Amino acid sequence: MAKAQEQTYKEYRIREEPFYIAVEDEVEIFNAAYEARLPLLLKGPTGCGKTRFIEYMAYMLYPDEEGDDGEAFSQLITVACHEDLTASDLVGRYLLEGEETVWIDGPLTKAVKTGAICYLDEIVEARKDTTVVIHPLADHRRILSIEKRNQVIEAHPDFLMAISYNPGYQSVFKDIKQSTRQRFVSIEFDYPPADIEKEIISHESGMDIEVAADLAKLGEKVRNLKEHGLEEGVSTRLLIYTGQLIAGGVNPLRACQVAITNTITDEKEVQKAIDELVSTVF
Amino acid sequence: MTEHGSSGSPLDSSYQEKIAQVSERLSSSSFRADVEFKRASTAMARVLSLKEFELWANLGFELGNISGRSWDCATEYFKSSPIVMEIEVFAFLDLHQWVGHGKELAAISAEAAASYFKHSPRFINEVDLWSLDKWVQLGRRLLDDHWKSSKLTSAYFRTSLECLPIFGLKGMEEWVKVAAALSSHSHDVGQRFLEDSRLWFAPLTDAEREKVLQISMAMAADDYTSIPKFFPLLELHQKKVKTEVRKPLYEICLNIAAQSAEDALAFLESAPLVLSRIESKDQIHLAALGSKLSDISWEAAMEYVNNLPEILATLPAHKVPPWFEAGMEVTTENAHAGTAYYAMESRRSQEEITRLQRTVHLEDINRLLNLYAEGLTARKLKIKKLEKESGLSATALPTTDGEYIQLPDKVAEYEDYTKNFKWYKVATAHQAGYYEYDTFCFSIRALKETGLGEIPRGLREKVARSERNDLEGFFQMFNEPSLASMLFRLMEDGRVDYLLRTNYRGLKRDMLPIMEHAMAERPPLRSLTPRRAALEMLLHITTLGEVRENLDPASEVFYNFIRGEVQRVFDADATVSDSALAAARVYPLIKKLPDMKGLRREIIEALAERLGNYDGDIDELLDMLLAEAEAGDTLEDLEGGDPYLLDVLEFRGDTKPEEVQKLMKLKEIKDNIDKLNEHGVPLPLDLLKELLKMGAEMDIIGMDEEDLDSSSGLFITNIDGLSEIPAYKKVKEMLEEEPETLQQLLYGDMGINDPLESIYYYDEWDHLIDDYRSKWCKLKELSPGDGDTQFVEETLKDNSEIINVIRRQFQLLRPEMFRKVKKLESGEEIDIDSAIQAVIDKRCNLTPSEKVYQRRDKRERDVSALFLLDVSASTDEEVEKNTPALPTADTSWKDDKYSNPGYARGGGGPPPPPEPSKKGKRIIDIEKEALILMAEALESIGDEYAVFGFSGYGRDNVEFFTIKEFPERYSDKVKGRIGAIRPQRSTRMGPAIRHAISKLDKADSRLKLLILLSDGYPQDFDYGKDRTSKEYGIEDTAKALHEAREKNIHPFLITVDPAGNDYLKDMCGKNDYMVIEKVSSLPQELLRTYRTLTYR
Ligand SMILES: Nc1ncnc2c1ncn2[C@@H]1O[C@H](COP(=O)(O)OP(=O)(O)O)[C@@H](O)[C@H]1O
Ligand SMILES: [Mg+2]
Repeated sequence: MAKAQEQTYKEYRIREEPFYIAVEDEVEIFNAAYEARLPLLLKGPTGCGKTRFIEYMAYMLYPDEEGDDGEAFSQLITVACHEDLTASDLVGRYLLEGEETVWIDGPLTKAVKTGAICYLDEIVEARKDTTVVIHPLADHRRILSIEKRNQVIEAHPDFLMAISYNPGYQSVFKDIKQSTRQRFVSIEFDYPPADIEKEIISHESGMDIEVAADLAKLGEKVRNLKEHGLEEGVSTRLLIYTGQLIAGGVNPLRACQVAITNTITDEKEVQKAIDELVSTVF
Repeated sequence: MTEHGSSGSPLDSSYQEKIAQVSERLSSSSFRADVEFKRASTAMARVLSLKEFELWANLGFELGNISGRSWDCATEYFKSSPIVMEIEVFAFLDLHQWVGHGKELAAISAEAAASYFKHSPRFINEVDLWSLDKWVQLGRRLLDDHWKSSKLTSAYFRTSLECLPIFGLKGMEEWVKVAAALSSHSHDVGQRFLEDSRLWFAPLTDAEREKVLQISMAMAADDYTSIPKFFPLLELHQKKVKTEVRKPLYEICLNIAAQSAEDALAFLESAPLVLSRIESKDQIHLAALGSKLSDISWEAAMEYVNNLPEILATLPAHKVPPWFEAGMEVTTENAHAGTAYYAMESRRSQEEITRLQRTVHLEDINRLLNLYAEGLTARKLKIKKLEKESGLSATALPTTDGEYIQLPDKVAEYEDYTKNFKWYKVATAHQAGYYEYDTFCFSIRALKETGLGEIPRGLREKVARSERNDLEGFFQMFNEPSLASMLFRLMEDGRVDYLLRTNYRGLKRDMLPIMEHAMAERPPLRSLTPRRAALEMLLHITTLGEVRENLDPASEVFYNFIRGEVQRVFDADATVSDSALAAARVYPLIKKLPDMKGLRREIIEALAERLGNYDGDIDELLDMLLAEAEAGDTLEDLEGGDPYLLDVLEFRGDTKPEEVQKLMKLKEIKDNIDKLNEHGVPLPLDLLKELLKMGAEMDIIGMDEEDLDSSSGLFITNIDGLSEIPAYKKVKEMLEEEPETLQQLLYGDMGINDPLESIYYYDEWDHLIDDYRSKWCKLKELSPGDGDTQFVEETLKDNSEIINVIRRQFQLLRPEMFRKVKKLESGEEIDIDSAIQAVIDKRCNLTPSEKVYQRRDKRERDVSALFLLDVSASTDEEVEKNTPALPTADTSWKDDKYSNPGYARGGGGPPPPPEPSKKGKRIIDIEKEALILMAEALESIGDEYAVFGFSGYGRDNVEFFTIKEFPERYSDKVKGRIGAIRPQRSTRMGPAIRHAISKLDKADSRLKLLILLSDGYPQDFDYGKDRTSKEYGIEDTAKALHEAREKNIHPFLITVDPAGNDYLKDMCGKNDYMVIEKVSSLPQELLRTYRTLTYR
């Protein structure tokens, strides 16, 4: 069980400034929201930079501090939500250790105590009962109740709640409930415009800026086909992968084929069209 | 007929005496005749007078005495007599005729005559007395002096009765001819033919039967021994070859058989094998071609069919017809050459194949290019075939109109397929480039900002003062708008291609060779007039960037000037304004250049001198030149014709930007109107005015502004043609009519006068244009009517046993299907995780949670199922009890099941094949039964479900019958509606599915099922232009099903159409359908399907 728990969230010290280029005013909004400790909802398709953004913000807000207890402190605790994620996965649980029982804090509790940012990625995937724990943390109360221990913890003054949500492929019954939604400040993300995206691709993949610009251009063109059997356009992440393949010596046409065309659709005709776009750009 | 006594009473003594008398005489001649006579006599005595009786008996003697063997015949005569007398239409007077035929026969063959007497009563009964002669005459054709022919003729009398329903009396003549032809070679073969005929011919269609008889005749004439081999092959075809394909196949076969029975057999033998290698959708068409060919040369046709798989390995199916047609020409000239052609042996044939292989057809890449253009431009640009198509020539050039990019229908200019495809790609990118680089966004306002000061003076003032803001307005500022327009287009094409090349290095790779190719065939500059040479230079510069020819000094000066101006558009930041600016700046010079040859060189050189040696501001010189040129100070054009005709480049096409600009503006207005209409907002006056302004000269006749007061405004719906024909014409027409009429018309069109009915509009997919037809179908929600619950109750009663089984099956399924819900206070099982937690809690001295149970919860099943019932007319078809029913989808249009002319005529007529005593169940009844059983199962399991029926007639009249909505309970009212369902009209599946989707979309279950019960392919009289083509409907339905999947709805189609396998794979995808062979098993199959679909 302990093992499973480790896999459900990520907790580490961000030591270097993550590379992030602001697309709009998201940095200012985040800062302002943080000042007021307003919880945040990051909305946008997969691979458009939400996670990177929150990492960047976490670093900027707590550049290189130590935690209150003097130990190495994680600025950001990320939980990837999934169908079987329950409230106790977030809050914590007792475990048996020999004849002893030991309480282990869940990621959320840890963040609440240490004053980190807790980022619940893809919140709609989690089971409904998790919202019960989030709600009191996401409004003026800022408290976490741990039923098992009969405790109510008041959040550390630095604690911040952030969740993400991809409006693209959710079906109706996987929508976020209004009662949850209305507790958050929402920042909408989309794939960055080509001139920013090319910088990102170039930086992340190590490709020269010309190839990166072409990849960004291609991204734009492929996203134009979104309605034709593509669930989502090609993500910045995939464009970076493509850049990495090209940097690794793969022929650009082939790199696009494996990292873009074949990845985003199974429909033959659309694949062909994407191939033609690729051979137009490259 | 007179009765001489009731059946029970003993016979009159006079009869008894007579009987004894005759019997005594008979017994001395034939024991068997005597026996039969005595047996028949009682019945005969009752209906005949004594005199008649005597006559009857005497006729028997006459028969018996005809020949030594004719007593057999008399025996049959006596035996059949009571039977024949029973027939209502048969009177005693007819006895002579009846016996007459027998006597004639007996004179030749007693055996044949005996058979005649044996079988003729049935003939008279089932056909009529008047046809008896014909029937006998047919038999006599088979009779000659060979002893075996007696057997043959007897066989005829026997088998013809069985075959009569198949051929009809008329058709039998051909049949007998075949038998006669065969028996002239071998009586045995002839006889076997007669005896096996019923077996062989019954499964064939009318048309097939006729063809098969003709083939048999032809074979019999050539080699009678082929017949016994022929029919087993037909049996094989029944199993392996589709009906529609058999028809052309037998046509070919007939032509072959006329020449060689042996080859015909070989052909028939190989056909199924050949066909098995051809995709089923291509078979009919390709076979039909073969049939056409066989009329000219049977040998060529044989080669053609046998080589089809090979041809298809080299050419796609749609390219076979052009190859075929070329072969037809060859064959008409020389049949041998044709045979070699179709054997793919001749060079001509090979050349044709290579040519077709390299040809790219637009229809094959239409969607691909659609996506490509949309990807490039982010606009819903669509590709279509050039309207005036004539191959790839100067008259069929790519163009665009704001909505479509039009391209030639095929390209074969280059030596291989890839290159021709690239031509399409580059041409598409060029047209798309106008949108990508904002050609049609030209505005005079932007032009002013770009460089008002650089426009030559005379023009500058006009631009500055301009009231118009569009391209046409710009061109109008020149004295010669057509020249201005041409210059602009050259500059703009140059700019667009430049931008494409710089932005897309891949495209550049493809574009350069095409440019080179296009420029390779330009006329030499020397051969042109000075003005044309200048234009040609401009073309060279905008494509290749240079002129490669050697120029004379004067031309060199012009060239340098023009090239300098083109640099303006060869810039990554150049806009459409730069093209206009560049055009305006080269205009004065080109306008000044004369459009004639052989002019004194001095004039040209003087102009070059002025330009080349000008040391002031070049702009001043341009001002001057423009002033001179526009003042008419140019050398008159001495050559007639259009002076500016310049062959444009094929890949750049021929687009009129000023027209496109107008069309796009109109489109925008139209979209606004559509939007307003959608929201039920009347057309505001401003918009209407703007619309009218598009046709500058138009005024509103018979309507003043008060009439058009926006509060009472107008709805305008039907202005679809807006982008095709100048839309204002249509609007004008509408407005010229009485305003009230117009208003009425518009309101009527909207259907808004009918608030009681729920009306919905749906788009329909047209695969021919690769796009939806917007709001094409009007769907009405209706009630099937109220009925009573009787049908449901009866069904339940009839199926009570099955229902118990169903319930048990479904309940049995239940536990496994249900989701576990953990952490409950009570439940069926212990939830281990929670239990452990509770133990830990207890150790920690915490109050452990009592929620340590888990249960499989019914609600967690989370299924919503919508059943959509095809209630088209064809579901009225009865289903035969035991034999598999064969309803075809189009039985509603024509019902020729029993129409057999020869058969149906005549007294009383024979009954069609055995009819069930009580009216049999129809498809719809079985559909309903299936529904009722399904409902039982669903009720027991608790899934959400809804039931609807659909039919309709035409796109304006799609009917959607609500039987049960999702939230509705399975009430008596619902049951009544089920009872009330009855067959309606056509089967337009697309809109019905779309409406069902909208219903399911509102449900919030994890699994949403759309189950369609149908009996045939989608069809309606206007489902696609070509009513005989199923393709349109199938494509639309496939699209609608696809839309369902996109909405997370799982569609599944169950059909009882045995031909379903032919089209359902394409329509539904290979896993989402099921063809039920036995209609009566529909209920079980539906239940089974439902179980598997929801068992995940
Ligand atoms: N604005 C940005 N600045 C820097 N990198 C970015 C930006 N947007 C996206 N990326 C890159 O895209 C990748 C995918 O983004 P990520 O944050 O993982 O997406 P998401 O969380 O939205 O699914 C990141 O690893 C990062 O390299
Ligand atoms: Mg992420």
